[in-house]
Amino acid sequence: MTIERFDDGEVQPDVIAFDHEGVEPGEPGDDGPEHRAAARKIPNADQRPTKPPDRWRELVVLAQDPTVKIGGRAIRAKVRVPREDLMPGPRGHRFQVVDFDATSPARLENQVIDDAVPQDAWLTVDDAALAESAAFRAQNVYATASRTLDTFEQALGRRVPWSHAGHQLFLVPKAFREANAFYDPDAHAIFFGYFDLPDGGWAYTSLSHDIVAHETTHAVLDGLRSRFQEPGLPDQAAFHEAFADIVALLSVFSMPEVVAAILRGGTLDQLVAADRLTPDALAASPLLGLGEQLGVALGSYGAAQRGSALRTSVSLKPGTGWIDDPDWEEPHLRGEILVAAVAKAFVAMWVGRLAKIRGDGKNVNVDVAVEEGAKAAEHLLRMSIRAIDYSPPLEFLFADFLDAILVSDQELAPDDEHHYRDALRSSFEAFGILQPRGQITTVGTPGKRLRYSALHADELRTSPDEIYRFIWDNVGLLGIPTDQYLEVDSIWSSTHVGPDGFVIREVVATYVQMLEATAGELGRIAKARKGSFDATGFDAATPVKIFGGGALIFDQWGRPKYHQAKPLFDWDRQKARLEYLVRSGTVDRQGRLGFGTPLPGGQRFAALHAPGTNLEEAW
Amino acid sequence: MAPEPTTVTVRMHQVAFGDCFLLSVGYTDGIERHVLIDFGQKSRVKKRDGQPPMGARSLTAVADSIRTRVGDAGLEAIVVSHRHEDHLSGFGVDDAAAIIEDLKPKLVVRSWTENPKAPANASKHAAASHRYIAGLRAANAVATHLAENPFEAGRTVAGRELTALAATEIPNAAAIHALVTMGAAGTREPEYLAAPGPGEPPTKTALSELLPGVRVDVLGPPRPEVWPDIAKQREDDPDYWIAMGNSLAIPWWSGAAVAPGGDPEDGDDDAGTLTTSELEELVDAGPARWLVEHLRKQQVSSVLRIVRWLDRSLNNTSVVLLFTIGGKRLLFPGDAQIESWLYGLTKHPQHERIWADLAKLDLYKVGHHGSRNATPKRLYRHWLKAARDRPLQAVMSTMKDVYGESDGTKVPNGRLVTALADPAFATLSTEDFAAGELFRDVVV
Repeated sequence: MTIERFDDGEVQPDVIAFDHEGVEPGEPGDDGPEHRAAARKIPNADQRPTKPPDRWRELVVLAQDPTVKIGGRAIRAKVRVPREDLMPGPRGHRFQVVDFDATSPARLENQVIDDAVPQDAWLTVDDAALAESAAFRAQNVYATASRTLDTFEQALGRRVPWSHAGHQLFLVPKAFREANAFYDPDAHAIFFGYFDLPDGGWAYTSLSHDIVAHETTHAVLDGLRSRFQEPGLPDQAAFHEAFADIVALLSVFSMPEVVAAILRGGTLDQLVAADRLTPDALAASPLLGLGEQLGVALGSYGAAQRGSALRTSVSLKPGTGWIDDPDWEEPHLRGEILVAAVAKAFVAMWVGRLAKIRGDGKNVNVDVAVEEGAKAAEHLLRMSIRAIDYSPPLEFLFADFLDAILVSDQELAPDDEHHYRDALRSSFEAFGILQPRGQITTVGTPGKRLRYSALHADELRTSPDEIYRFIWDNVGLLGIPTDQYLEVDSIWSSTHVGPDGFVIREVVATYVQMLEATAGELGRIAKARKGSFDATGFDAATPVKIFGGGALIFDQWGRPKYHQAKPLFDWDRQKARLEYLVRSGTVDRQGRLGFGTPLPGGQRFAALHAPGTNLEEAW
Repeated sequence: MAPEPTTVTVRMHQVAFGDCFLLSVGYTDGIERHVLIDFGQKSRVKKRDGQPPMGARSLTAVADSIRTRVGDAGLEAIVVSHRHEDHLSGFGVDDAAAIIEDLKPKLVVRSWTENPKAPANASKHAAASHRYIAGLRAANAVATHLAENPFEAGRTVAGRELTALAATEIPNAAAIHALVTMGAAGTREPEYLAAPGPGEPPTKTALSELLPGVRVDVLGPPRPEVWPDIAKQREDDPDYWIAMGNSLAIPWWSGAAVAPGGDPEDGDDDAGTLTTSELEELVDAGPARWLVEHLRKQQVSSVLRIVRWLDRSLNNTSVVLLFTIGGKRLLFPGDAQIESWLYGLTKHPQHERIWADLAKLDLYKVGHHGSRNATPKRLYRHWLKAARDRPLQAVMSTMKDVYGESDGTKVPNGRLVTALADPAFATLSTEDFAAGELFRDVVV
């Protein structure tokens, strides 16, 4: 019997298959040893079983912004990318690179990643040739985007869809002559601009690892939480930017040779002085800067104040003044608070890990320092990504993110051996972001059992209608007003492996509620529900749209364990949101509040990412 | 003995979306001296109920009121902060220009970038200011093309905004001709001012002679050599605009006919498409073709963002003047944006003294009609902290629903308007004028 594999693995002559249809000694039909050997002889011996194909493909990418150099050369790294069949483009099952320049349109030429061509050539070619190679730009953007998506899927234990129908996201590495790069949900694409440098040559945003990882994160987050684009409180718009920065920052640490090169500062030293591994020294390192080339090229005055990187959020001083300061409502600026909190927590985690293994107290082996940094970054990145499942689908606040990280991590790693959760609490608290009480609640109370009688466990794992039935049957315990429109808009299964090696399965379902009324009507609705909404400051006739929603997390037995809720009729929150929308002029084209923004979806990220210098001086 | 200033009055005219201010200084010799600061109005404004009058007749009426106000004294000077139409289009209206010309202005002051003799050199090795001038001229050529060739994307909201914005960037030839003529006829050589560079003496201007006892500080615009942030915008690069101009000539931009009807929203499929053969030349049938067609529409938005940068660059050519008249200080920044402001506030050779003087400012002409990028927050906070015995008078010439739909682009900006309602300010906006009210005087 031949075991056949449906792949292109190699033939392995030493592997012998088991023949389950053979005859054992002494059994009827046994005609002796020679007969048994002949019976066991494998037919078609040249088609022996093969080993599984490689899971990964190794590709060279630029590991940081092209202007960050070691030894006068941009930093390259060979990274692992999930292996798949690639068509010219390159085009895979999740990404398609389209090398088309809309500013100087010419016939589209597909680029190819050819496994027969050794990747090492990209390691040695000079920076200018690398930048000008359309093939390399395509490879760089494909590989970085693929790794970013893979990071999410590994952390969540499931496939992550795009927000649009269809399975591929377009990546356009040289889209327009503009110092901008942005995710366009309407185009199902990420567009990377290019611009000329003062001293000659071109800068391609598709060659910046930070920018590619950042933009891909926008696309992934949009697939996980598409409602984050609804007009909400300033934290929500800021979160998209902040989270994309966090992923870009922490992703660098998955390239240990890059981290080592930066820590060594261009030398070949095997030891790093302990004073270069303090929290302040690490915060000032290029490892924690973002988008250096774009920042310098834009001549951003704000960036010049903070360093040459477009954003070096980690250098922000902790404080709470930002919370009520309208100056800090601008999404980029506000997002820096969250990035700073996470980055400072990361530095604390890294330094904490190093403190346990410091050798002579003065110096640390580079490889050890890098490895500990990589572990801390990987853990924190996974914690942050898993937290998305525990986050509300809209009406998002930074405190919700902290809550989600802490609760979800507690599920997976109850012991917190390295005190990661303490580091996060402490870092967030320094910026006035505290874990809310009673935001994520356990479902059901002693003496009040949930109703399952009409439900089916398998359906609860996959069917939005079944989830809705669950909500319908347990409305009293969940506190969700089912007399209002409600939509279960996502349901996903996740699989995680805890530190003890055991698998934890969860089902995460999100639901949203919405109500359209006039500002004047909200007061009457609130009163009828024994609440209070003060419509002072609003034109009573202005149409408004308010939202509520939540996430329900079910355990592996189909029982709900957590409910992350943003009640529709939380009048304090609704008033704060509407006041912010008025203050920021966020009305749609018909002058309505809360229905949308004046910009079409395709332009919202473009506008966010258009260079905005001196943001701290603008109104 | 030279006469001394005794009174200062600023007259703000109703010019809808535009600027037109008359600075009048009374003297001990009994002669009032007048300086006209900008005289323009944005055209192509969507008609809505309740708007003030616009157009040539309204501008002529403004010119007439200026003539009545200044009488036989005429004008000492005209200051045109920068070349956007909402600051100089009045000079391009024949009747209005004739009236102003009759007032025999002795001096015409404009930005250094308007000097017809300013060298323009697109070479990469040319001086920064020469490249800057070349870049602005090349950019204006592209703006002209965009405005005069409403391509197929003109059916989209972004396309219309692009066409309208591009039109405002085109130099108003008639107005510039009138200014050049008046400048040549003046008793002082026309001036093209820039802020002094580090270590340089204060910029000289004949305004100080024409207004005895008045110090005039030129805070902006800075030259690119001394303030690279002004010139570092990619879009000030002449090569960039030349390449953009070349790309406009190909069917990608200009070829297809406009599809009739259609919902004027961005990304609308009805808003014009390339022909099949044009697309075939660019990309084979398949998934990429859909994206390429989408990219083309996206390009409109990309160019719109870029033309906004041109708009911003021209705003940054604004002459920024601080008048010190007796004990009174008045600031006229034109439409200067934050990059230009920050030079004046932090790098100007006299910036420390200027910063101290600004704390005692008496009148602020709100920058750029109240947009979000033209009144630095640090300056606002400086004013709030200053000890004053009376509010700072802020005058804002603006009109809502002309510019911007999003929070970032709306003019006037809601937050700034709220901030200027603080008791530390006495703010007057042309939006507060009654119907038919042509001007208001603010006694400083």
